[in-house]
Amino acid sequence: MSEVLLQLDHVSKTFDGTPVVKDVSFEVKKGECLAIIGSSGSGKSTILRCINHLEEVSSGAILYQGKNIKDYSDKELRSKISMVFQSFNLFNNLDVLGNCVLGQVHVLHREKKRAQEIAMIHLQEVGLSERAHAKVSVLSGGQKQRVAIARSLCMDPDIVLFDEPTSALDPEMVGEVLSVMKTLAEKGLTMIVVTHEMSFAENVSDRVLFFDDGFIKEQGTPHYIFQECANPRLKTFLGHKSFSK
Amino acid sequence: MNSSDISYLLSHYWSNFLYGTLSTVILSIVGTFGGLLLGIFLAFAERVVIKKELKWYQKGWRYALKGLANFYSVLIRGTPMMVQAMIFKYGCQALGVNWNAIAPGIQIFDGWFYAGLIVITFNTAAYMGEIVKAGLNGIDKGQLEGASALGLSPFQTLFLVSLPQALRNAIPTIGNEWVVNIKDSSVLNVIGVTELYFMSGQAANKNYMFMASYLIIALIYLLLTLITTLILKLSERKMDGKKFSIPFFHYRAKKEASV
Repeated sequence: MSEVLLQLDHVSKTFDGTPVVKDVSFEVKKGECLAIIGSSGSGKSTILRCINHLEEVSSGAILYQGKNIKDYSDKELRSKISMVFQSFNLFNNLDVLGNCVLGQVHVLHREKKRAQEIAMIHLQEVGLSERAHAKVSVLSGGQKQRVAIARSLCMDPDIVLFDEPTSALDPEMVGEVLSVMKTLAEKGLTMIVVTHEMSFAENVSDRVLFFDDGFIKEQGTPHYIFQECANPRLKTFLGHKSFSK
Repeated sequence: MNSSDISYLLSHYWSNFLYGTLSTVILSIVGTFGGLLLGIFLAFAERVVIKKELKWYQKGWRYALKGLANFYSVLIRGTPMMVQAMIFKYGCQALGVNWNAIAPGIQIFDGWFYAGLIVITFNTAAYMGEIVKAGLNGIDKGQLEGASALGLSPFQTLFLVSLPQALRNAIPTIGNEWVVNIKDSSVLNVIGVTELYFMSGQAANKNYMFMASYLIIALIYLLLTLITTLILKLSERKMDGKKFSIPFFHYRAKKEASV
């Protein structure tokens, strides 16, 4: 776990004059599972979108393998850093397999047959190989999110960004998605997870960042964040979270 | 009028009705699907994104494209097809284009039929542009973001994700345009297109059997629109992955029944 894959150097992001992310710096090492927690509107999702180059940073730099992400083409960058969204963002005109094959064929230029084989491997990994030919509209929320994860994995990414992957799910379906993510973390996939699932951040991640008002207010091991840190803002946030649980 | 008028016209002028029906069918199909292709182009043109960071000339041609597409849509949708047909006819005459002299390879239709095809296609394109545009606007932005996050280019996203869904959602409206074209192609008789209405007029005028003649073509138009509606219903079901069954009769194709 030594190679630094991603480096954020004093990154800020402003929307129409309103600062959303303020002077954020952190690193992500290969094989690391980084959890980002914080209240809504604290800039967690924006930072993921900046890393995926869906948003342009206002100042600072994001380096992937030592090179500014601006120097990569979007195609190149996004095949290395893939993203799983809160609302799945699956393609409704395609079935499960089609969703997993599209990017491989048109971005990675894999042969369709090979792409289908790879898709089936990842669908099996998320427990959905038997639904490969189902329309995405007939799947449950948890299944849709697992397809989205499989679709991401099909691109052979170095890093997967998860943007609140369980927030749109009902409690019964949260478990199936978290279980898949836990398995991926255990296999050594580099992950950055924006989450409101404190148990995931505490038990699965290697490191936790606490965002508040666009800043990183605290960072450290899950043990430090959840047991030792005395930051009153973090304590209030975690207090609300445990109350809501 | 009595029923013998109808049987007289059908027995003596069946070839006129058949020829007219064939013309109308071809006009409506080419007009609808040719118009759809042009309409897709118009919708793309109107949706061209003009980013701040573009150079002035890049912005310039994008604005020009958008403006032209918009102007075309307003102009065509704001004037009747019959008037457009007449302007096309006299415009061609003024430019020295003689459609009578244009001999097709297969001598079934005369030159004005091809002029009619152009008029109905370009007229339909303006409506199709709006239909496709509405279909594209209806696509969930999250899917576009998902495509972008996968590394698909905007062009790939448009053709692989947005357009198939926009067209699927627009099938009922596109179908409606097809039905409208079956009926509205009759106005092309003003420039001498030998479609169904024109051909029935010939039979009616010769025999003074106006009521019988127009009743016959009313039934033919009705039959054509019903068949068109049925085709569209079936294609909608097919695209939704539902069983291939004909509405009302609940007929199930053997292939599906055996599954």
